[in-house]
Amino acid sequence: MSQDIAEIPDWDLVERAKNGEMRAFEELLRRYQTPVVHFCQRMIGSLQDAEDVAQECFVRLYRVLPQLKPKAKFTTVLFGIARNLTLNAIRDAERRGRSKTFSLAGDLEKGEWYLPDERQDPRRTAEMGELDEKIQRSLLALAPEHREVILLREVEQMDYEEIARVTGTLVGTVKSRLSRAREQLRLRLMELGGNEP
Amino acid sequence: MRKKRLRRLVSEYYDGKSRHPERVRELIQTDPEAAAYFQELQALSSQLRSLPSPSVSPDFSVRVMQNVAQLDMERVRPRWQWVGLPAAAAALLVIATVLFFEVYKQDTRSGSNTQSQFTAIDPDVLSEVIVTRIAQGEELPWQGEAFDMFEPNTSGSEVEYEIADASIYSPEVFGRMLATLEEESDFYTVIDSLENGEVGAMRDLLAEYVLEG
Repeated sequence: MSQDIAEIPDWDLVERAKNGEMRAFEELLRRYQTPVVHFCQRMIGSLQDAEDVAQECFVRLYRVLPQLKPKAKFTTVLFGIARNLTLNAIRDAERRGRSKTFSLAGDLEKGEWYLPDERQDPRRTAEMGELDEKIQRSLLALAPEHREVILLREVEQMDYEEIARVTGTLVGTVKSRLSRAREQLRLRLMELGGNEP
Repeated sequence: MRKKRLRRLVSEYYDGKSRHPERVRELIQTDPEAAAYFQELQALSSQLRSLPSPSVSPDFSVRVMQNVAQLDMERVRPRWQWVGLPAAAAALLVIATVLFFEVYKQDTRSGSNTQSQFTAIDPDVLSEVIVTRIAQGEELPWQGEAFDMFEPNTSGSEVEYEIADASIYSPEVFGRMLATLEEESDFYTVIDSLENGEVGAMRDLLAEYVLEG
């Protein structure tokens, strides 16, 4: 490969990976493993679970490579897979009783926040500052459909059209969900004393 | 209701997606509530964008690539299944052919004087001789009214068929065989067209026919 692999656009890497060039797939993995794990972790809460989901996400990506066509940004495909897997993981956790939809007035005061594994994970605990933890708690308190739009917008910096593609919704739905998500997140952070402008 | 609408307008404006950016900008400049919300969104966005990325486990990519390799192996397995069946069928065919000719040779060696003489005849020559003689309008030397000229001979575990009496050979069977010969001019095609048990019998009859000729 004469061209530096780090400079090859995503979809070209996909094409090369389709043709069995494993280095191309490894480059995609290298580029996006941290953003995908980050998204999954903010969606799920636990870094360990997030890594498991992200791992599955890349395996799924590899599995569907032959069907992929460059109709949209590659990241919308990748995060679409990640998003579906995180929602499945959240549903599974809810079925097992590990998680719940938080009510700020109820569960927070009772100290029943769901922060799976976070407190037992020294690596994560060390990384998370006080504000970060408040934001994470507030994010986890949002409904998953609100959490995902705000993460895709603010963390992944996707535009409305890309978010609509990832979430399989209309742009209008993205707008209203994002507005509501921001409002709820702002309120929760204010209650936790973490959003002083 | 006004508050909700205002916040949505400001949220869209903040993302650069407002349909009336001039009006919203004016609103933010004139309405303290809109201005405060705009500032809160800026702060919120700044906080969210500054969230630290997690430290992904060092072996994360290794685990992914291991899973991918496993996936590749699973993909290959069914291919082998597809290849395996025809390969097994082909192998069986080869074994059956080899066995057929081994049995054929043994049968020929241990057979009658006529059969022994037949083994010395090149099948292609035999085929050519038969076709030539049929083409010359020769009559078949065998007569017979019964079709059951083959009798089962249960020697060992396999049932073999032997000619009961060549003199009662069915003319229909021979007619079919000769028709094939005329059409194909190929001894092996005739052999292939025969039913199980007919092969040995027909070989004897053909040999006898040729030798008599």
